[in-house]
Amino acid sequence: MSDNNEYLEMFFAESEEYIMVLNDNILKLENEPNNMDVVNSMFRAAHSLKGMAATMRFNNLAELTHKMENMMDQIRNKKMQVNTEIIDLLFAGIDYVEEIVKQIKENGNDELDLDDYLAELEAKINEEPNLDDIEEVQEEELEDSNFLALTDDDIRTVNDNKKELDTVFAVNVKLNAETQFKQVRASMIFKSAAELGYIFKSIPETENVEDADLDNNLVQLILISNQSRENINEEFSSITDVEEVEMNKISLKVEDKDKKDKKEKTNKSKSVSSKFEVSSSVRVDIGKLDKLMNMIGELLINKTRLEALNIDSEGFKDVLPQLDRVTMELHHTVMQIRMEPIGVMFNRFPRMIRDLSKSSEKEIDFVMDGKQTELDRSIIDELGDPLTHLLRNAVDHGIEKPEVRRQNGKDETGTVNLKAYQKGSEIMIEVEDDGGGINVDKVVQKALDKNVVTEKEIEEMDRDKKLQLIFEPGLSTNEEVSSVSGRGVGMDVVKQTIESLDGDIYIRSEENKGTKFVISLPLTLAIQDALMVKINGEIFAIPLSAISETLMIESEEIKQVKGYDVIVLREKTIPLVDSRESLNIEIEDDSYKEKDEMPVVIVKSGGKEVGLIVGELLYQQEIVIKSLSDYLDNVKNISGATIIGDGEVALILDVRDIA
Amino acid sequence: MANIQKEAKNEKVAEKEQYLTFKVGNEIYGLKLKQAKEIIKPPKVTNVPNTKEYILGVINLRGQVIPVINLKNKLGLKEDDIKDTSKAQNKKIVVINIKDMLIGLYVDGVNEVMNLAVENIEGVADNKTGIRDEYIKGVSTFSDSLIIVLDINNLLFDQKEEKGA
Amino acid sequence: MKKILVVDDAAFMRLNLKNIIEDMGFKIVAEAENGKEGVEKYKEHQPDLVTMDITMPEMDGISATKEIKNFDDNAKVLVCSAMGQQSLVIEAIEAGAKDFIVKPFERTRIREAMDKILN
Repeated sequence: MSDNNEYLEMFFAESEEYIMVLNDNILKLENEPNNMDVVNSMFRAAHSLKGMAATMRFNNLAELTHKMENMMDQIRNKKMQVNTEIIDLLFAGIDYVEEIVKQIKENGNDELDLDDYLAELEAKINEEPNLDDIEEVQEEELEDSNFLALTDDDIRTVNDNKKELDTVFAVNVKLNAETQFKQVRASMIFKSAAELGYIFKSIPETENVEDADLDNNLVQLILISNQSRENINEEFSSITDVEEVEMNKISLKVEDKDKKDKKEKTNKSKSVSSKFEVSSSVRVDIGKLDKLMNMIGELLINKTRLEALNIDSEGFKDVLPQLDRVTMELHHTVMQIRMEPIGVMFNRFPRMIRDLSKSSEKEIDFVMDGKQTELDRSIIDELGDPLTHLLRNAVDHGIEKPEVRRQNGKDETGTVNLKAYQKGSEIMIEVEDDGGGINVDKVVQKALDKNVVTEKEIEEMDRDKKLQLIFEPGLSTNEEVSSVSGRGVGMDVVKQTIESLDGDIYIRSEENKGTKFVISLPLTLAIQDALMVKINGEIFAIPLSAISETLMIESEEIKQVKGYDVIVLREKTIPLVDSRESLNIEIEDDSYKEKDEMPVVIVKSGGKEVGLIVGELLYQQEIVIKSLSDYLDNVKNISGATIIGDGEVALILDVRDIA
Repeated sequence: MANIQKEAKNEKVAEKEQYLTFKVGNEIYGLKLKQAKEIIKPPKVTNVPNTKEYILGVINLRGQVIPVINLKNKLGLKEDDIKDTSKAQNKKIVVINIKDMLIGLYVDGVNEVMNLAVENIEGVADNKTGIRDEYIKGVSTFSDSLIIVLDINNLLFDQKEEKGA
Repeated sequence: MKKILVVDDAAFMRLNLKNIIEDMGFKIVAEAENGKEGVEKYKEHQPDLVTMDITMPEMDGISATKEIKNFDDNAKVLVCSAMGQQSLVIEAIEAGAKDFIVKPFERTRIREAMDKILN
């Protein structure tokens, strides 16, 4: 049954993709009811879903998608006008599809009572049968002249494959009735055709030519070629036993007849970009990639150990850089394989925002940027929940109702912006709204009530620090728990998730202006550049992404501000922290101040900078990040471990809580 | 009927089990052999700050980072009470596999694998070892020596202590 | 005069082909009993056309066709097939053979095929 499981896995993965495409396109359709590209790609997704469902014998799902497909067909054929009711109906359908797929995952069956929905759909489909006769006729003509039934999908593919100078021909090659080995002749015809251009479709199919039934002595094909009609004719005619070659130039239009060529062009480019979102690919089990990544990690560690051997030999010195280059390239390639555009996850949000804004009676413009930003697949998987939470919050607590916005002199329509971009070796994700913002005093009050902080601690905090209190457990500014956001997940959980990904999150907010969450994430989890330092005789790694610079300071440069040690660096005051303190290492008599000179690593986190005094700056190295065993979860200021050249374990400093 | 017979049979099978015995301080302790994965010579242990005292640190076990527990400390045996007679080269790390985790136990020496009869492992009515009751599964004797059989699960996943901490 | 190489393990077939081909006014420059020999003879004589049997010892006609095409991309190979060897013929065509004839040979078909290939 493992075969079947494999099919199921593929079925789940692809269904999810199609559901996303459908959601995305229905949403687009609502805004552009006449965009046939959108309808077509919707139709294709529904069609593919139906095909998969039928193959897997999920008849209920097949039936549902079939009906939805019918409806889309009506829209496509202009027999149905897109309106909110239709959109809602389609969305409801997708929800059913999603539910069924979920159920298949859980119980293996696709039983779900769809009768009411299907009846509703059916009624809608049968409503206003406003037939467009002309179109019907043309469609028939097209099919007639092409002999091979071409679906719109086919036509689109033909158009996509066709280059500027290409012509599409429908070719009938008739063989002599006396022909011996007709199948061989057919394969020769295909061979010539393949030399002339691209066989889009054929009867018999090229793959099955050996077993083809050629009793009618006819080979039919649709050929896309840049050759002249005469050339093609001659080529086919030169094949032994070919009696007659009949050729028809066909022009294929996907668009409705009333649209001009110009329009077609712009639509074409659009369809290309929408295709990109469901990129064609080989599916690889993420577990296998993880394993591959681990193995490369091992390779890297062994390479480092090899380097540490310091063998005095010409050959050794020659081969080492080679090994280094190959290892790096291998690492880079696997990293690339693991990367996926974040858009695959973003795509679920427009639908969510639409539903949320509808139910909360708010008008919201949802803008997404940087969908192509690539991120490690495993990170993307983890980001869904925290981003959902932040966006829900933005709609629910952030954006005000239209009348409130009007009173405050704002545009009635609020804006929620979801943005991803790369910044150095980090990926930044921002969730921003132009809503009411956060009242810092309320946050502080709550924090005091919940004993998260003391009055004294508050006194020392600036506004920005106070705002970050929102990430403490049990803090939520809105008294009422709404049905939307109040699902028991707090900002603390969001922060925890982000931190578990080795990322960081902070908030900026101004009252009546809006709120912005900024998430920073490492490009990939497994391997990072790090600075190795010595603290109290032990080697530690500090991720380079967390370091803004390193410097040597002299003890007289240390100043005191409010009883804390600071240094002034380019007119910026930066607090100093003794790394031994952060690591709870007993500081012996030789406190750093007694030294003349000391190395300082300026680390940054959440927009803050701190100077971390270490014992010694060692060297820079690529490190393979290893988990510090589940048994030791959440060790303060340590984010993981790595294995260094001599096979020993070095710990990785987590600067987030230090900075 | 069938059930009763089956149970009786099971009991017989379970009668004897193999235990790995090892030395910590002056006493001999045992744990079920099937819980132990391997015994290694202690490599360099990297100290992990901000962890409990009984966490000796972490080691590299063929590319995997695993924690090492200082059993002497975890069992609450005070260093000064014990005259450390064991030689440095006898010290070993017993790697156990528990809850899908590999954890190393730092011991003063590994003795032998013994077949201990279950009935010989008695409850500790009168625990004079100074070790918390819940860490001990029982005590068994084997050719005159006393073997303290540890409840590794309780020892490593100490609910009370976690709450207290 | 066009030069032809005949490759066939059966002497009878070679004779048969020789008669037909020479009647057509072509010259048989060499004959080979198996694919391997066929490849060697091709390299030696570089004929205008090769008739190639499929099933032969040492090296079959498909492999021989491949080797000949590797040596000379313009080589013209006419496959001689027995009945029921369709899939092998398809393979030979894939390997680069220009056309095929089916045994028992008919003069007209051979002539037709050769004319087509040589022009």
